[in-house]
Amino acid sequence: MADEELFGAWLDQELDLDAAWNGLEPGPTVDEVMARISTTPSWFLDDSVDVVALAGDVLDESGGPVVAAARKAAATAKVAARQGVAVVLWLVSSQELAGRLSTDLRLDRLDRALLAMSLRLAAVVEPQRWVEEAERREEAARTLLLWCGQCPGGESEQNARAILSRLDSAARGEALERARRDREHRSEIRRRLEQARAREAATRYSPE
Amino acid sequence: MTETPDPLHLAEYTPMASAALTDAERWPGLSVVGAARLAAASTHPAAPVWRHRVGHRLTGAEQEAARSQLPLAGWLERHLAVARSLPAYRRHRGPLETLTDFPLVTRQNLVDDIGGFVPLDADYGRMLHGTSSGSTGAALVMPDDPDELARGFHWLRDLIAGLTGGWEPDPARFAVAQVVWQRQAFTYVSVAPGFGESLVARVNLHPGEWAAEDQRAFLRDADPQVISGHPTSLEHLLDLREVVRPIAIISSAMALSATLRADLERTFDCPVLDVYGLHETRPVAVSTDGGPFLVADRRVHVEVLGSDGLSLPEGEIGEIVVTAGENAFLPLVRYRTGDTGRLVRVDGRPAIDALEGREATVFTTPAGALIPSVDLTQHLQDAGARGWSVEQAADGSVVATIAGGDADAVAARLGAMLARDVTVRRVDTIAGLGDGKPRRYRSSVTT
Repeated sequence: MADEELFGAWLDQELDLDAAWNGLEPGPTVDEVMARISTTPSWFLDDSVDVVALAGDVLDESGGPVVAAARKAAATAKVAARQGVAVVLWLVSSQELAGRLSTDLRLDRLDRALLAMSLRLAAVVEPQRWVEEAERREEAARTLLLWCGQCPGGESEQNARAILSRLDSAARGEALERARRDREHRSEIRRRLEQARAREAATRYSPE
Repeated sequence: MTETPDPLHLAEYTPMASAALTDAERWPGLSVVGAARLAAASTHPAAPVWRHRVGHRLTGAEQEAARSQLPLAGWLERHLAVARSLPAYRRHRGPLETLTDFPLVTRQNLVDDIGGFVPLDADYGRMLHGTSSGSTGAALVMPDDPDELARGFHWLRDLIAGLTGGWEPDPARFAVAQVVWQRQAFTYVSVAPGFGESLVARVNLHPGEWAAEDQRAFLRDADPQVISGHPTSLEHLLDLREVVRPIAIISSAMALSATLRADLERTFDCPVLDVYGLHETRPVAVSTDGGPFLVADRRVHVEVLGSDGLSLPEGEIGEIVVTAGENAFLPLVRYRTGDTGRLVRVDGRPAIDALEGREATVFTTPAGALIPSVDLTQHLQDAGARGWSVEQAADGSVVATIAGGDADAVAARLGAMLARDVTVRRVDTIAGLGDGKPRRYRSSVTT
């Protein structure tokens, strides 16, 4: 079951999935990233972790946009969003603590990757499952690389697209589609009610 | 010479500031005769400043359809099926099989997420902007349904016809004049749907908005068959007793006191209908005799719930919760009205008795006995008050302000009931009570 509120927060970011595939640079392999996700320390996922402060600690002074993205995720007050941020921050910080990946993650798009992971993916797959389930871990690794603007090491872009598309199961796609439709409906209702034609109202015959 | 700007003027009341349609869109298919009648009323020399121009929006076929109420067989089941598909319930955990499975909906829920309560297949183009300021909380913007508004008119028409022996269009008379009494208000003249192109008007009796002599001249010519309003404005109708001769009067939006009902009935020698409903739910019930409010023969279902949220048996006082299926754009299930009352049967039909606006307030005696506001209501009405405000301070002292009525009698009766001195201040009119509902209770005493 998708968290439609969280997914709605993702849609509010107006980030374009198709555009994310533009300008990919080579990245680390999917296996490397998956292995790193599986070693996410449990305390990173703990409720008490302040992910905004953590983002500030993990990134240097150039990390302003990432901290801002973490703040947006935290503002949803959703456990899944917070944990999604934590996993991404682990991947960054682990390069100091557990050794560098074959290719560094791009930091210039990390803010968007943080939002994609903590709002979009976390809305349909809880981050705990990224750590615990191989298939969901692969989806998380590939999603992260995509939004970091990196093609998985050793793969063609075409191959990477095909695999990520397969991992996005139909059921989840449906849930997201419904969330998207609901959201558009809500905004359409608000828009229509404010239109002049609606605002002229209609004759009434007694007060209420 | 320049005029001093009125600091309390609201831009939306600038004449025709909200007009966006053509007359052909407001009144599709209006005949030449009907248009001429409308034009004559619009330009009547004693007419008020018409601040708005609104129509019923319905074609001839739609007007004809609105003359009949929607069929009731099986409506609640279909209504619940529609509700299950609403975005608002997407995250509901647990079954939504029967009515009582549905969570209660509050006004704040609608304020926060009105789109979530509109069906996904709604015909957006037919939705109209409705607002309810309510007596508490933020204003609510909600979709209105032009078909429902027209059916609501014909529901009133049928009720009045039943009480008066018939209500047919009379080309020489307005069908309805809705009277308000506000410093500023929307005023308009329009055409009733499916009723011989008879005119309807919404007029403001406030002397600052419309000179008294013009009111008399215009209303004498309009000669409305039915007059609707709320108690504050209907009270001023008493001053127009020589001018209008309604076949029926409709009071709604606020509670009508027995005294004002009797004054209106006696003065105009016609039935007075007290309609209970909210903008969100549409009309729910009606009292034609000052007794219990009969639940309307429409797509509306009334429950009375206890403070634990569970249905109370007939006869017990609790919060009125309404399931409303007339407005196609707002199919409400279990909407909390904030009003209290008890369900009773009148000739086998469900009715609401002891209806009180908003939360039931409880007063206390020095010995700690609890006195519900409904008990005070009876005595205030009996003493002839048309409206009132009764407040009990934290130290137990009680102050009552009454509009009309016998202040000494109120002081004596409330004093006896509450076993303490009650200070009573009398004002001449309901408007003198200030803004808000004309029957108000507040108690700072914690129980």
